[in-house]
Order: sequence, then C-alpha cells, then structure tokens
Amino acid sequence: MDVSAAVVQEFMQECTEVLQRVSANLELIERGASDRETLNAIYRDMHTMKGSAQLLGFKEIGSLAHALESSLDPIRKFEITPSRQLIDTIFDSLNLLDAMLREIQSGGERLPREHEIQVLVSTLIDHTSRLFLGDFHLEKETGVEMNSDRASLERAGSRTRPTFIPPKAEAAVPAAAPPAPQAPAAPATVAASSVEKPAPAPIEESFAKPVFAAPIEKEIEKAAAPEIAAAAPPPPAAKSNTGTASMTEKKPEPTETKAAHEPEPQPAGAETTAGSTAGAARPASSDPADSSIRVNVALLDKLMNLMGEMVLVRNQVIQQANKSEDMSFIALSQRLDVVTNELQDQVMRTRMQPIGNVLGNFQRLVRELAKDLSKRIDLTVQGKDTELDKTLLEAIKDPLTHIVRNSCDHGIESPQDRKKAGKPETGHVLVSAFHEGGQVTVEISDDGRGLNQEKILKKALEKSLITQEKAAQMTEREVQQLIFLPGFSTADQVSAISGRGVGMDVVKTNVERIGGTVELSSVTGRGSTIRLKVPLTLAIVPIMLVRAGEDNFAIPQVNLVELVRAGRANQHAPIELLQGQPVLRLRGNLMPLVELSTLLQDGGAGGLATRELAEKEIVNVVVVKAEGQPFGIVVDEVSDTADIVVKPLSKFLKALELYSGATILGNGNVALILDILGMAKKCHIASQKREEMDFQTHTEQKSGNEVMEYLVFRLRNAGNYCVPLCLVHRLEEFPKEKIEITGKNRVVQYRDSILPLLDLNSSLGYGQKNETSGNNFSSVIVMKKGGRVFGIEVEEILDIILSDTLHEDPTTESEGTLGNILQDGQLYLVVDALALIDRDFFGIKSRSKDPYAAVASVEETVKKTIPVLYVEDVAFFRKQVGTVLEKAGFNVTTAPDGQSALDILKGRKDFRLILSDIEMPKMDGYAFARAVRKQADLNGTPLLALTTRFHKRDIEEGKAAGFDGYLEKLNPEKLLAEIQHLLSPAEKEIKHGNG
Amino acid sequence: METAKKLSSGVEGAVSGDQHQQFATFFLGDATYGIEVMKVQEITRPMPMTRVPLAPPFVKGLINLRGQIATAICLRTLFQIPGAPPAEQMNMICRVNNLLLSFLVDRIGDVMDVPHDLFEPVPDNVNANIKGYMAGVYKIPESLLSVVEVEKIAKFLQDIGTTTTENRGN
Repeated sequence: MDVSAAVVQEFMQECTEVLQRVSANLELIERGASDRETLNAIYRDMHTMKGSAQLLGFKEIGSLAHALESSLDPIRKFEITPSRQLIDTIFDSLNLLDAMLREIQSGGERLPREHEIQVLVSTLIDHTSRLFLGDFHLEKETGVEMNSDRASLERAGSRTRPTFIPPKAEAAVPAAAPPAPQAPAAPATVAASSVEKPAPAPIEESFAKPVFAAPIEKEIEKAAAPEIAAAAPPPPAAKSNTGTASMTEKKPEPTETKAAHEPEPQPAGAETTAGSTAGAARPASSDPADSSIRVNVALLDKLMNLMGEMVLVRNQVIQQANKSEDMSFIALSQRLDVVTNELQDQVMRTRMQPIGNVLGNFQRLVRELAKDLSKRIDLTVQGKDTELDKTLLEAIKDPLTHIVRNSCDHGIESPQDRKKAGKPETGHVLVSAFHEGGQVTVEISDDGRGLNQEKILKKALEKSLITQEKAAQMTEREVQQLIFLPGFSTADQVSAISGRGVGMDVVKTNVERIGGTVELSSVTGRGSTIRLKVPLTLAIVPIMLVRAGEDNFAIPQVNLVELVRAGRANQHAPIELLQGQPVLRLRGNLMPLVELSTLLQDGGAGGLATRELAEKEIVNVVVVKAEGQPFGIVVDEVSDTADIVVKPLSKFLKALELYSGATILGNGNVALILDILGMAKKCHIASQKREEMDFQTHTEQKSGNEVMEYLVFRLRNAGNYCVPLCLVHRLEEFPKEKIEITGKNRVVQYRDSILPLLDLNSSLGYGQKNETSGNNFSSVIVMKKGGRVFGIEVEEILDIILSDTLHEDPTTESEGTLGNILQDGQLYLVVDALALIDRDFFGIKSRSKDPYAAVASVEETVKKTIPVLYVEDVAFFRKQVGTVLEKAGFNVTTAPDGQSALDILKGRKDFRLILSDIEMPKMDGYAFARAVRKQADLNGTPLLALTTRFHKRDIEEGKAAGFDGYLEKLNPEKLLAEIQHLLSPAEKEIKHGNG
Repeated sequence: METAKKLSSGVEGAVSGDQHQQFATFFLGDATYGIEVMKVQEITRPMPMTRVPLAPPFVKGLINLRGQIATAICLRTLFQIPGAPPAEQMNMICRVNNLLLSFLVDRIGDVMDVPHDLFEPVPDNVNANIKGYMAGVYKIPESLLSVVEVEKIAKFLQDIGTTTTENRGN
C-alpha cells in the first residue's frame, strides 16, 4: 500500500471519532431523543468515512460505509424514524467497521469480510426498503425482540420479494417501491412539494409515483442489485460492489427524468429544503470544526514540559525578587507569577479530553453484550462533557469497560428473572461522570440483582481469604469489599458463580495506580453502584520529599497515611525485629517496615542487616498504603512537601518497579518519585493483603474505645502541651519572614487565602512570641472552625500520644485548657485551642472564666435531668459535649454511631432531645435521622445535628433527613441556646399544636 | 517515500550514497567514536546528576536538561571499556525513539566530514560488547572512527525494560 503511515493514522483517528459519534447519535434516535439533524449527522459521517476509505484504498470499509450512507439517505430526507431492526443492523455494521479498522491498526492479518459485508448490506437495504413499504407500524412491535433479526428478515423478505419482480405493478401495491438506495433520488421532487413531515401514507404515495415515472428497465436493473444480495448470499463480492456503486451513480438520472415530468420549481424546492436542513445544521455541527484544531499530543506534551521549565524559572525569579530592593522588579516578578499560574492552568486544560470519548463506545459494548447474553439492557450515559487528562482517560478506559461489562453480565438479570422479581424486563445501566471536589467521579450503577453476600462469603471462605470467625463478624459493607481482594475472583468462576467481582482487584489496582479510588455499594435485589474517583490530572501531584542517604525521593501524598517518629526515644513506637525483619508496633498493631536505603541497596532481597535500626534513637517512618495495606518506609529525613510536575521515566527504569516517575525540584535537582505499589511488591508486602481488614478493624475498635489521640507540642517554657488530634486539620511550617501583621493579628498566606495565626505562647500568657529563637520556621497547627481555618503557632511539634483519660482539673487557673492527661508518668496539659480562637479572634470570653455561664438560663427553663441522647463517633466530642450537656442539667446517654443509637432508642422512649453527628461509621447521621423520623413515637422529638459540615448542600440534606437544626460542635453557648429554644414550653406548645 | 526512508534509517542510507557524512566525534580512552551529527541534540558540560539506585550500572543518573529529564548512560560502562573514566564526563545528548539519553563520554572531538569510501563494516574481532552498538568503521587519517548507532543502544535499553518486567511477573 503506497499510503504513508501518517495519513493512515489520521484516517484511523478520524474513523474512530466517526464511529463514536455515530453510535451516540444512533442511541439518541433509539431513545427517541433525536431531531432531524441527528440522522443528517450520521449520514454525513458515513459519507466522510466512505470518501476517505475509498481514497486510501480500504475498499471494504468504503463499500460498507457507502451502503450505510445510501440506506440512510432516503430516511433522513423523509424524516422517517428508523426501525429498531435498521438501527440494530447499523450497529452491527459499525461493529464490523470497528473490527476492520482494528485489523488495519494492528497491521495484522485482515480477515476476509466480503461475506459479512454482503449480508449486512442486503439487510440494510431490506430494512430500509421496508420502512417505505407500509408495514412500518408493524416493525415497531416486532422490533422489540432483539434477536429476531434473521427471522423477521426472512418474513419480510418473503413478503416483499415477489413484489420486486413486477415493478410496473399497480400503484396500490406499495411494495413495488424501489429499494432504499434509490429513494433519495426518486422522491426528492415529490417530497419537496409535500409537507415537511410526511406521514407514512404520503411517503408511500410519493414512492409509488417515481416507480411509474422512471424508465422501467432502470428500475429493474436497480431493483435487481439488492435483490441479488438479499436473495443469494453470498454473491460474488465484485458484483455486489458494482451493485451498490451503481445505485448511487444512478442517482442523478431519475432526478433528471423527474424534472422533465414535474414543474420546474420543485427540484429547486427540493434543493432548498435540503439546503435549509443543511444550513440549519451547520451552526451546530460545523461549530467545533471552526473553533478547534487538531494538535499532536506530542506537541502538547512538549508544551507541558516547557510549562514546567517556565514554572522553575518563575520560582527562581521570585526568589531573586524576594532579595531585591527594586520595587519595579518585584512588581514585575509578581505579574510573572500571576501570568505563569494562569498559563499553567490553561496549558493543563489543553490536555483535557471529554470522558465521552471513552463512554461513547459503551453504547455498542452494551448492545453487543445484551445480545450475547439474551438480556435487555438500556445504557444511559450522563456527563459526557466531563473533562480529564488524556493519560488518565486512557488509564480508566479498561477499568470502566470492565465494570460496565460486569454490570451487564452479572448485575442485570435475564428478562424472565426480572419479571419474577417484579422489575421491568429491561435492565438499566447508568454511567454518569461529573466533577466533584477537584476530582472526576464516574459512577456506574445498575438496577440488577446486586451483590449476593452469602455467595461472596462462601467464595471467600473457599479461597481461605477470610476465616470462619471473621466471616461471622463482618458487616455488609465489609463483605462487599471482599470482591476487591486479589485472588477472590479468577477467570474460571465467571460462569461458576453469579456474584459480581471478576477481576475487581485489577480494576482497583489500576485505578489506585493513577491516584484514584474505587467505592462500591450494593443492595441485594436492587442493584449495585461502583464509584471511581480519579484526579483531574496526573501532571501535577502533591508529594512529600524524603531523604535516604544522600538521595532525595518523592512520595506521592495519595499514598501517604501518616508520619511516625519511632525508635528508642519514643516508647510508644519501638522498632522491633521479627525474624530479622523490622516491624513497628503502631497503636497495638504490627506494621512491616522497609528501610529505604537498605531496599535501594539490595533490592528487597533482605540480605542486609537491619539490626542497627532497632538500636537507633530516632527513626523516621513514613506510613504509606499500597493496595490498602499500610507499611512503613524508614527514611533518614522527611524534608518537605511540594506540588510537583511529574516527568515520565524511561521505560527501562520504570521496569525496576521502584520509581513511578521523576520530577524537578525547586532547586533544579532531579528527584525520583517512589513507586509505592512496586516497593510493596518488592518487599512482598502487598501479598499479605488479606490482613488489611484486620488492621483496620483493630484500629477502629481501639480508637473507638475511649482512647484518644493527642498531638503533643512544645511551648516556650515546656513541652507538655497537647491538643486532641481530631481537631487538627493539618500541620504546617512557615518561614518566619512569611508571617505578616495585619492590624493586631499575625497572618500568613496559606493556600490562596489568609490564615490568621494565634501565638499560643502569648495566648496562654507565657509572654510574647519568641522572635529570637534560632529556628527560622514557625510550626503551626491548622484547625478548622466554622468552615474557616486558623493557625496555632507553637514552638515545636513533638509527637502523637494515646490516652484514655482526660482529667478535668478545676484547679487549673490558666484560661483555655480542657484538662490534663497523665501518660507514662508525664502530665500533659490539654489546650482548649478552639476556645482560645473564640476569645482572641471573636472576643467571646464566656468560656474562659465560667465555661458554663450560659447554662444558668437553660436551667431555669428546663428541669434537671432531662434525658438526652447524643450520637457521636469521636470519643473526644462525646466527652466534651456530653460534659457541657450534663453541666447544663441533662441526663446524657451517648452512642458511638447511628446503629447503636437506634438500638438504644428501641429500649428507651423517654429522650426529649436527640443530638447527632453526621459523619459516623456504620450508620451516618442522615440515615439515622431518617430512621428516627420513621418511628412514629419519636416523631415529635427534636433532632439536632452537631457537625463540622456546613455546606449548604449538607444542611439541606440534613433538613431533608429530618434534622430540626444544624449546630457546630464545641460551641456550647449556641448549643444550649438552641436547646433552650427547642425545649422551651412555648416552643413545645407550638410543636404540639402543629402535630 | 524514498527520501523518507533514507532520512529515517540514517547510517545505511549514508553507506549506500556517495556523499560525505558528518559525525560528532568523541573519545573514550584513546579511541575515537562518532555519532551521526543530526542525531545529536546538544553537547553540554558535566551536569549535576541524580543517581538511580538499583538501576543497571551504566545508568549514571538523571539530568535536568532545562526542565526535561535525560537519562545519563555511561558509554564506558556500557561498552565495558576497562580503566577509570575522568572525574568529569561530558554529555552528548540524543533523543532516540522517544528516549532522551545523555551519553557520558571522556572528551568531545570535532565534527568530522567523512567520505563514504572510507567506510568498512565492523571487523569480526572487535569486542562483542561494543560491536552490538556499532554501525561500522571509517578509516580516517591517523586513526579509526567507530560509528556508534544510538538506535541500537535505545533498543537495547527498551528491551531490558520489557524483559525485566516479564521476569518480575512471577
């Protein structure tokens, strides 16, 4: 073939797009959501494909495209709705085209397709012609059966065939109409004069006329061609080719003949209608062509690289500007900064592609599957315009296909089963994509049978992925998660088990590899939903920079769980050796450790001694998660966090399975990005995955058992201060010179906003902030309160400790403390940071002097020991809020989650008020509220949400679920005021009056 | 088509033609080597390198080439030439088959214009470690110019990529 590869490549690309577009448009028609432009668009696409295929010498593709084009032409001209069978056939043709394109693409052997094409062409002609034969309404009914193509074809054939032979039969025999391909030519003039949307009847008429008008021998010749094809498959290829070709070539002739018979203006009229249709179509269809151009991906990649370089230069300029006194230079550098950021955003967007490019193919996939499985499945795709990075799109293509396949194969039941279950016979699969929180979410849900828990458990036990006792304890959700375990599903079980989850572990791994997550929820008998969340772009990722020996490495923050300072200096986290392998006892669990510098010397062979590790005073452990399995990486230093531009690594270096990429740091040095999954594999950690659940449930149980984590830090005078870890949003370090003074507050720029800083030293009355300390960085604990962030400046952040006791100390005179904890002989003062924020930023003083001043008024209106139920999963809040309530005279019962609360409510009906958190394990606040509101005897009980989520949407959802109010945690004044409001007699009367 | 073919397969085309061929020459030890000049993107002084632990020994590290990352390949190690390299090696940067490679060489020579009639295939007795990457030899005055075919090096690198992944598949 003397066609250059580039042209063929372009052709392939174009054809792929055409096929996607045609599939999408056909689907519109099938759903009845099409307009006249839809058919026109398909017609034009097939026309284009025919043209380019013939130009490049792909004869088979050309002839099939040609047949499609020809069969669509009359339909679009008369705006007839194509029959189901015709659509099916077109879909079949698209599949064949796709298959042929793939063969060309792969450069492999090309199968002879002539016979297939013949059959399709004749079927196409047959279906099209029957649209004009008056049994159009009949079609619709029979068309419901998807697999009856062949049968109906024969039926139709036997009915129509005889009428083809005597073409000069009387007008009353509409079947004498010519086969489809001629239709465009013949009826054009007549149609033009008739109404815009001809009903079936006029079409027959208009069709009948040309039959008589056209020279008879031409009719016979034309009718004969499809007749041969239909009647005698497989006819010789050449013959049919010329047959189809002749059909269109003949087009102009009848038109001319017609023009002779009909008055002049009509052909012109036909032209105008056609013209106006095209004209009307143009703004819609040609718009993208005018406003976009094709760009080679390599060029975009290059642009991206240059962008990275520019960012580096910008960084250096800004560094220079910081040292400079020259105001105009500083201003310029700031402008450069702004423009570069903007440019970076836009360049990033050039790599974005609509997810529809992948989802478009699903229509055909589902069709084919439905046919193979003898099921009826409807696929709805939403959010095709959602954009994400091209490489990510490629990466989720296979997982998505897999999930959709699963939904069709295992999710949707057979029509008979669906009928029995009282569902509509047609199953529904919904794929929707949307942006959410800087990520792209793709949801695939079906209304099939859902996951079968018993079968999953049985399978998991058979494969000894879990133990018997374990199986007995597992919650529904945990059972569902089992399908993600490697080894849970293997190919041989596709037919052996009807449960879902073939290769779901692969799906999960692939999605996690690109920094995404997979979630699954399923209701037996009602269907399943799988939710993929992927980042918008892989190009820029937040990382943590660590040092091992003399080398710096980046660890993607998606993999990061926590940082632990272990070693002999920390009695809570000693490192021990187990069979020569280092492990860390972290909150009661053994976690495998990998020493980075050792791994990088021996490649995970485990030959090098790690004995010294256990002897070290301080060991920095970066806890990461690979495939859900946490493990610790021992590094020499944790240096920094940064957002970096990921640079690809040569394939042969990637093959080491230690590095996933490289990046250029601010100082211009190259750093390797660690491949956490690969590392886990190398050290045989991922294979222990089945322990994952144990690890997690242990942690949950322990932390749920009143044990609290506290963040320990140092102030100027001493080190024994802490705050509850659950209040901590992030930990940051800011260079001292970045801290600015506005008014009387110290602030720092933080993530595009202003972070007000509270100097804990001075707030607690230990003197002014320490400007003279040698440290150039200020350690800041970032907290969130009421949707805003605040920073607490401390001298140094030391550790995290666990404690199950918080002694409230009434003798503590200092303001802003919650109490003491005693841990390993040390006394730690728990700082009430939120109260200090209230005091210092909002001037609310009441809590410090008399924490429960507001209580008095409540006590006047409500009697003591009013029973209240408080649902909250975090022990700290349970205790805090519980205490506030108890001091205010309530009799507080607490529950750690919605489910336990409901259990309590089963036994006790006397609660006058229920308070609940929103985010909780097992049953969240919304579900809890709905459940409460369903119980008639609890209907009048006020229900308050105590939460940190204050988005409008959250509040609306809460109201919808049945909450009467929405309050912030740890704001006792407001809480008590609201309770007073809800429980005051007047309020109650109104409530009763209403109820 | 013809021209395209010629352009794409460099050395062979050069051999069959009767024009001169230009080579960027460099030295490893005393021996002279050359890479077709059009294939050399640039030549730089020694640059800071980030080493890649556990990589094959001839991978000396990664270089930040104005925002792009080049893999530094020590030709001495790859060719298994005995003797210690100089403390600082020059970078000869080539983009081959989408790989950005920086070949570390002892010393950079001139760009040489060599007539084709001086060309000879690689003699059989040449060290197999080098022979695999050589296109041939030019008998230039006073010395021999070994032509290094960067595509062969790139292919070798890509092949280790695929074989190691397979081996690791366990």
